[in-house]
Amino acid sequence: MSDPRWALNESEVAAKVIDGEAIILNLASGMYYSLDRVGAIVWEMMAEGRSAEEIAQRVATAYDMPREQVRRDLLGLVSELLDEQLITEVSGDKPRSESSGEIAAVSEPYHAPQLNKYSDMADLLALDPPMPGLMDGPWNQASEHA
Amino acid sequence: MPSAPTGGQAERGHGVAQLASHVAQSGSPGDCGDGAMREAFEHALREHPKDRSELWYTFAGRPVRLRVVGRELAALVQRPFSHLRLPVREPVQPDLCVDIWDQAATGVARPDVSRVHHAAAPVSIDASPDGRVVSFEREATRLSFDRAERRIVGCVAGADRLSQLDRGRPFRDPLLLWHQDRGVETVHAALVARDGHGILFGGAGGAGKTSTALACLQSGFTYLSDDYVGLETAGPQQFIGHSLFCSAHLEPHQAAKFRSLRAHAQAPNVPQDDKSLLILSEVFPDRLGCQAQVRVLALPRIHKETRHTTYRVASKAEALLSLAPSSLLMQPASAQRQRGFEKLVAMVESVPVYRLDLGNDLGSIPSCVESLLHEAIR
Repeated sequence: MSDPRWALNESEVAAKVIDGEAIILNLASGMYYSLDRVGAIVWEMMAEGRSAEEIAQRVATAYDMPREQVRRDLLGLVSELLDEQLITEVSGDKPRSESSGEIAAVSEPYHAPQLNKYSDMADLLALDPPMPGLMDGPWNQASEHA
Repeated sequence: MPSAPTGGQAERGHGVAQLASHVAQSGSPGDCGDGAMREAFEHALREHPKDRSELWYTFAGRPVRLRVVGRELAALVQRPFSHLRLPVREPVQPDLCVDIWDQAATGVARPDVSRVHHAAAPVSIDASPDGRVVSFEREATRLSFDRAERRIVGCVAGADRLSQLDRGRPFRDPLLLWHQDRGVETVHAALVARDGHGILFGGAGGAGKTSTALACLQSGFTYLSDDYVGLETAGPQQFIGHSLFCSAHLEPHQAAKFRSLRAHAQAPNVPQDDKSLLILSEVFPDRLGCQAQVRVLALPRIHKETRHTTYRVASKAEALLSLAPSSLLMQPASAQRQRGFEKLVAMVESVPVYRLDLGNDLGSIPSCVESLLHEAIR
């Protein structure tokens, strides 16, 4: 059985896991998303380049759940994230992150990760499109303030 | 490419037509017509010395020079910046120059430059291949921004054709880009202050930002914005909010709620626009501020069924979800939005965050905001 890994679509996606929730913006489409606690854990591990097997095993252990069920839920979420162009499948046999990837102790029960989608900004973007591909140059001093 | 509209009087002058022809050919192909726009502005400046005005402002703490040719246009575009006026006695190097002329009043036509047109969009945008020059065309206004020289050159078909949006937020598109280039990301938020402590109200359109900011202003808070705030990093976990415009666009239901302000509001000038314009420096000249340190972030939400306003601590995720999407999508250069997102994350993580549940009694909003500010900074 193949053991895929993924990476965030960094050219178009801005994301942050904060307070145990993942907030994800597709800067090209204007769609934005949130992921609940299990989903946020999965999102972080995908960003680290962990494989489907690694993610399923660690989530199953942390929540004391059957690994096969967690893997099915994971692949269901992955399918949605790919459809929304938030992640891409990548090759490789090691995670990109040096972190241990351990999941901190969880107290809440397991729920299949659910991607919440918000489309209200996409309409706004269609009416007032941004300037695509405007390059930084010597005129841009923003990096000095970052 | 479609030819651009020109002002009525401008189309009639033979000499003007010659100038337009000359300047259209004089710009280099890759500058989006910026060179032609500059030449046309200089011509208007030379030909109408009595109709020119020069004023200085501070935008995001930086000196900005505004030159306008056309008296009526000058009077209109100055109003939303009047709280940012800079008394300049010594010559200073401007960080941004804005030069604009009135086509109808001066008879100087807009150069006929090509443009990219987004069929469904109210603004047409064109950029030079290296991204240095960006031009914007919105209704009767054309603006060209040279990011390297930090100069905006523009023209309006006629002062009477300036849209309600441009009367309240002149030069908005290139100004947002200039702010972004200076490391000052514009966020979709309102900002008021008490004793120098800024309270940022974040949320998408209809969340209650304008109602909250105006209610606070009426009760004595310093007003900085109801819609656009320039956010600048001032140090570790320190963020300064800058005012851009002292205007508010009121929807009919908002104008009905703020009866004392309604008399000062300017009715929409086109049938398809239902928002009236309020220039707050003309109502509360002593209660407007240029900048304030952001000490707390509040997320308003309107509850029509309740009377009194209440607040509670909100999660950082809730704050980011409320503030980031609409803020990032209005930042003009999409390639720089990632950096804007990181700044918003840093700000959200640095300040206390509250949910502000707005009741229909406007009078209960300021005391609630006062309480949450005290709780946040104690």
